Amino acid sequence: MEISLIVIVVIVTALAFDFTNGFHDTANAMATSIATGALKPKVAVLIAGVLNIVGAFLSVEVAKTISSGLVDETKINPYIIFAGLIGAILWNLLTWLLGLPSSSSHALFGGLIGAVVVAAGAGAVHFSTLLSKIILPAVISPVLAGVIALVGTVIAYRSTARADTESVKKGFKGGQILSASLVALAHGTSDAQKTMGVITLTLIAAGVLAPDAGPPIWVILSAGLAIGLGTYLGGWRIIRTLGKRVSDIQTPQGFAAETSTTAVILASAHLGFALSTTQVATGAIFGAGAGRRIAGVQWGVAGQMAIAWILTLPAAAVVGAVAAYAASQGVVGTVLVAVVAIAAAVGIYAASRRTPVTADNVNDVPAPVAPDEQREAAQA
Amino acid sequence: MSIAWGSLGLVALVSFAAAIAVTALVSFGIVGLAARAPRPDGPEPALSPAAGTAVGAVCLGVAALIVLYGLYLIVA
Repeated sequence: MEISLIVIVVIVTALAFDFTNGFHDTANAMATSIATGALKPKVAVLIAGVLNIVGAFLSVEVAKTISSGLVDETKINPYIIFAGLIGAILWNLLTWLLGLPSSSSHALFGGLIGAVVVAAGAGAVHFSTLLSKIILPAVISPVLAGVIALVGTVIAYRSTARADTESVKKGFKGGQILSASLVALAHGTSDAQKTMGVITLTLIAAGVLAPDAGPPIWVILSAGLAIGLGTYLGGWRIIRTLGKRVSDIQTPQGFAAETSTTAVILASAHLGFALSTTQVATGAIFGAGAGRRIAGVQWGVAGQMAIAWILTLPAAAVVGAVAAYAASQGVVGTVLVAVVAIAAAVGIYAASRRTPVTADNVNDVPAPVAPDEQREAAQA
Repeated sequence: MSIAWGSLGLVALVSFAAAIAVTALVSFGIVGLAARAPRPDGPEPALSPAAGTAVGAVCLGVAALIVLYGLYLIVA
């Protein structure tokens, strides 16, 4: 069976997306554990990377649709998938450069929507599904996770207030390692599946696999490895943002935040809502910060993130649309899109080297201090 | 357009209950375990070492069961 060039290009691009998905989302599971020192930075990303690979193998529930019903799937061809993936990858890289946690799934959906609109017209986009499946959960889930983490943090501090501080700190460190691992595992099962689904459906469309076929083992393996490797390399810029710039996070807060994240993701996945791990984890970290000291939370950082979240879908859609237009012009156009995308990726990477954030310096920023704490320190 | 408010509410309720239960159980468990070996310069523990061990074991055990159920949900 011959596999056409575009199919190979789509598979490679999908794995590249999976990779960016991995390092964009390391922070979701590990940011607070790294910030509190519960885990050493390199150990944390190793655990997260391995659990992502394990997660990819654990679940066989491969995504049945590429876009979760957001667009008319009969209009989708490999060129559209390619263009959509390019839009998603570039947005992921740009937000990573800025250290902003944004949803990889929203970027993928945005890229696909943009590409479909160019290729098949706006009528092929199901806008009501967009509202009920993407926008509404995106508004509700971070708030929900935040409220749960806030209540959890209050309980964790109140109940342990009179116990020995050292033992409590040690206890929550242990708890945090476990809860962070669970977030990483849940992430692997959900996000690696997305890439597997995209590759499998492309292979089915190309006639390489029979309809209703499951993903071949090499697809599972390569998708698991791509997301695991991305996770291991670690999006240190985003880890710094979530761990250090939101609030001064301590172990009980980290534990409450990760427990809230896991609970929300598992409950929603079980009931059929595909939530963004990133948005849930981010909401939980803000909630945990507020649970100890509302004034200690940098709400300005929340504002930046909210803007990035709102922009994610349309921005990826614009790139996807441009890429789809170019790719539809034939082989030259497709090659051009690939070359421009690689050049942009290299450029963003080069820009990141000017202010590198690595495992060694990820925690080397002053923790935000609440205004009243500042006053107390000044008086003392 | 139909929005599944019922399911959304259920997600909110279930995740709230599960996360708060685990957080509270682990907190109580940690308090229990802290009472087992009080440090000389630490505060007076609220429980005797034996009661602390029992509270710690029961709370952490139940929390572990909830987590295992979560793992089961991931795998199944």
